[in-house]
Amino acid sequence: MQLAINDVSKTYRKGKVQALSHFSAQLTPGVYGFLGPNGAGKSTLMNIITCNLRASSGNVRYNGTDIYKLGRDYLRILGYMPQQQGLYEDFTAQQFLWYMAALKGIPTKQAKQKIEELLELVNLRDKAGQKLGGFSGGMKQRVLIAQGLLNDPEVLILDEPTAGLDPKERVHIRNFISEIALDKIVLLATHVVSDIECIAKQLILIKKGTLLMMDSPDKVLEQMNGKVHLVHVPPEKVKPLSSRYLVSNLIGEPDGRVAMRIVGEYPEEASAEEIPPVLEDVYLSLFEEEKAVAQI
Amino acid sequence: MSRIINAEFRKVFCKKLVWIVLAAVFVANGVLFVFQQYQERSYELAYWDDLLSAEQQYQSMPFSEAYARLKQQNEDYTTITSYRMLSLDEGVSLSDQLQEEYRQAMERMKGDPSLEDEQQFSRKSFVVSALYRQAEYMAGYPAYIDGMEERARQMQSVSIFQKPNSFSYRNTVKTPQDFEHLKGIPLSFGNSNGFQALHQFAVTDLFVLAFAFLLCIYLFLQEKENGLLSMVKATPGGGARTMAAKLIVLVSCTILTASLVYGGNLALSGWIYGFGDLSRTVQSMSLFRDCNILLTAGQWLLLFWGSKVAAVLLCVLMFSLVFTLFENNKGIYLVLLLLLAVSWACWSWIMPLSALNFFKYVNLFSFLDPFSLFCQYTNINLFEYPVSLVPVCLLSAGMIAVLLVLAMLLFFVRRKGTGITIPTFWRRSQRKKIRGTARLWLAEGRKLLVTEKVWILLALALLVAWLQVDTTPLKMNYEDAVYKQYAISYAGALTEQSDLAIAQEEKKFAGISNQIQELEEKYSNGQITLEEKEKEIYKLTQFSEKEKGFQRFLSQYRMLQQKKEQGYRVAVIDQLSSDQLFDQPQRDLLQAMLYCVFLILALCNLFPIDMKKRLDGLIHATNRGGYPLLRVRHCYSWILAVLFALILYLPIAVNFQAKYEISDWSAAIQSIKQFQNITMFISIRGFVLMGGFVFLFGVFSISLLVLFLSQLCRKQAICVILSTLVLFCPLLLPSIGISTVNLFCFNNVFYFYTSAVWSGMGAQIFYLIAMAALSMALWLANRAWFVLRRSDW
Repeated sequence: MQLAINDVSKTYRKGKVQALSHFSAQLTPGVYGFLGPNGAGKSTLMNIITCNLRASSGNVRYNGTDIYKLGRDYLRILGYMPQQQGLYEDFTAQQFLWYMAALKGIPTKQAKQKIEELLELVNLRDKAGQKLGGFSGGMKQRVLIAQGLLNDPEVLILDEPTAGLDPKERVHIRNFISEIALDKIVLLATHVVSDIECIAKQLILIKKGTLLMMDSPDKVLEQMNGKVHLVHVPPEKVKPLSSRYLVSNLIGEPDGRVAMRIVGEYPEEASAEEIPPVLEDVYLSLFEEEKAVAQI
Repeated sequence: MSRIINAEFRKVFCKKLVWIVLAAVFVANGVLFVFQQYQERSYELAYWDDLLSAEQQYQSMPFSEAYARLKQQNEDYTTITSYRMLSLDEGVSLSDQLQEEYRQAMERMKGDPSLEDEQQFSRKSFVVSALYRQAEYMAGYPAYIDGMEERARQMQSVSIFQKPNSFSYRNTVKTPQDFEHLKGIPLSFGNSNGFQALHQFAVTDLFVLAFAFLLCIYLFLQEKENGLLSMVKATPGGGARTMAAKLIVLVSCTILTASLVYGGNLALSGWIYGFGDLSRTVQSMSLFRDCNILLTAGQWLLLFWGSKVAAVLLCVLMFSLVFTLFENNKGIYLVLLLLLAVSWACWSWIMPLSALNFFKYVNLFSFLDPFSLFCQYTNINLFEYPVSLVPVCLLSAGMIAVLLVLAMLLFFVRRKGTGITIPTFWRRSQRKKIRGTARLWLAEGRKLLVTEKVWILLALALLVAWLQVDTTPLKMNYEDAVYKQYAISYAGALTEQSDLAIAQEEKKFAGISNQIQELEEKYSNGQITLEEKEKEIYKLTQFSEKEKGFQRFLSQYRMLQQKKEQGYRVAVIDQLSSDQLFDQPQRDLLQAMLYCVFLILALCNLFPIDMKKRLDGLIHATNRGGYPLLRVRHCYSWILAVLFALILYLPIAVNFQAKYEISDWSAAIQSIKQFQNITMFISIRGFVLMGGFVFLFGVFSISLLVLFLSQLCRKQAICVILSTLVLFCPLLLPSIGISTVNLFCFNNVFYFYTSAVWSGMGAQIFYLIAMAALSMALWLANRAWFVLRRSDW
């Protein structure tokens, strides 16, 4: 099982806007975490993989065959969970899943069993008869996850699957994704780095349509070794330091000082201590136009 | 506070739907009002100007003189009409009394031109009869008032009214006292049709309440549904001030709309019928006989207007309380339905003199009927004491309004959360079995009917169709009736016998003047008496009245003879029936407009809804979300196109079947005068079938076009606007004389019969092929766009 993205580019307005530039990746069963800021090209790539968009150049092949040649055979093994959108408010949860089952061509008997299982899995069995209009954001998210798994896909595209979920649900979904990814190619686009740092086989970092890095989380973090430091400073120094360095975290300490986590450049303050990097530091370092908001 | 009020106004008036519904209410109400009056009273309205001028004439006379004159005139017209009708029947012998009365009547009306002209006679007879009825009522009114005490005494002799401490007894005592002040009031001529029309036209209440309901949705429900109410209530101004602002907006909009719409009815009724002398007392009209409030006609109109506005306002306050109390749609609609059902049941089923009649009259439906409230004298039974209805209702309405407002303010401010929710037991029952279908066409059908609310459109279409079924008897003027008689007698193919009979009939008409001359000569020679001469002349005059109708038939027959010579298998077809079927441009326009509106609204959201919810990407990423889904949607669009056509055009067939007839469907289409110039050899049946095919392919094309536009535009509102421009606007061009466009747009689908007259059948066949080709082209375009869209999403 292999999904090969071969030198895919996508431009708009006759080449004036480059949404994706010569993106290539070979994906095998496992979880792939897509990281990138808004407008990086994640959605464009996902739309190309889900046949919602045609690449300007390059192709996507599944098991060696172009996905457009495979046509509906490819769509049969594809599961897609878009970023939370509106749902049909008048549909109940199960009616929506039945509708998606109809669109996926799943036989009625099989669909019934699958819907039952998935509603239990996403903890919505009791709400099966409730209209989607009355669902909270997290509940809608879970319905979208459930529909993505209806046809037991071999390629699963998840766009922000844990947005709006509480920590318990997030862990539950994360663990579930880990389990099912043993025999599936799972592409998971998220801004919540903790969702993928534990379960992703490889991280794919993308910026302005270009692939920055594609490697295992460990290797990605290795690159940040020696580049993350912790300094303890009085509160009046926070602002000047924040304007000079890339700060990924701020914590108020019991002695009145503030602990600042600085990424990248070595801070000249004597109290700077090197600390192990985390994925968030990588994210900030690579996409440093958006400096982190201090959390106190 | 003013800023909050402004914001609440903006919430309502920034919605396009509010403006559309408002405009629709004004237009629909006005059109329906006028349409109903002309449909129900076309006969009277034909003579209305004469009646109004006669009323003015008699108003200026002393009443006793006017009454005497009208009485005599009415008797004379009645006598002459009876005499003439009976004398036509050879088997009936006229009594001496009738003959004498006839002679005297003729003597009194000597020189009256209406005696020579049947139509003028009918007109004058109608006017005199109507005025006499008014005069007779006015003459009897003082006696009616004076006789109340006597009638009360008579009723007290009946056991039910004998118990002194009962409501029935006390009511009989109170009633004459309440009418005492009406003794000796001046009465004046003036018809009551305008007032009756206002009272009977109840559709306006529905329109205004529907608009007010929409206001309530935007003012009270929108925030709850969007989850914004808790945010609003968590601000300093989000309590009483916000609710007060909402109420101010609701009340002012309701008052304004109701004033304008009911005012419109007043204006239209005044324009159609006129209200006569507004300073006359309402008791001058028999409609207000039982009204014990001394009002002038003008005051009554103001009262009507004001009370309607107040009643609507009370209903709206009740709606808004329910909207405030309940959290979601289901609770709101259920409770409102329940309240309306209970009110209606009380209003309909409780007897007027029942101990519970308080609930009959202190009731929304009663408040909405100011005529029954103010003009039908009634007493409420309050613990066996009769209390006048009007003060009780006014006081109750006022108190209810105040209580409603206070309740809303209190609930909104005090209650935590957003309202009463559905009870838990209902929620528990929502752990339903997993049941459904994975058949795409069923799932898509459900989505179409429920999510896209097409079921509402179908229900509305059925309602419109039901309202269009005409159960009134067929009315026609004398000429039409004569013509129809001949058409029926000679219906079918042209034969030598029919040729001969018609020729003889023609000779008869030609010989009338000679016969009259002969009679005059015989009378002068003393061969016949005056009465005999008058009788025979009257018969000949009656016969000659038929000439117009006969000439019309003869002209048709001559045309048919010509066509027969040209080789067409023609037959006599009643022109009234053929006109009803084939020559109704106004009807065709209305049906076409209705059809387009319904179809556009049903189909314009088929694709945009997925795009609006941003689910189209998800749908396209499934293996049946491509062409299979498109095929299903195409099928449904065709089904809806045919369904709406059946529903909306069925009343035409039903109305035609009930009153008209085409005697020979296999006759050549050239049998119908309108189509005499068509050269093609085709039967009426074939012609109608061809029209049917043009219609079928046309509506298929239209449905595919709307689908294509909905894909192209991606937004429902834009699709509606574009579809309206392409389909709806060209429909109006023929009504302003531009018919040549019909063959170059979809007009011909709806105006086939009128277009075929000038375009010829060749052009129609070409149009039919073009529609079929267009259907195919649009189908392909939809498919192509469906794929193309993906690459540029």
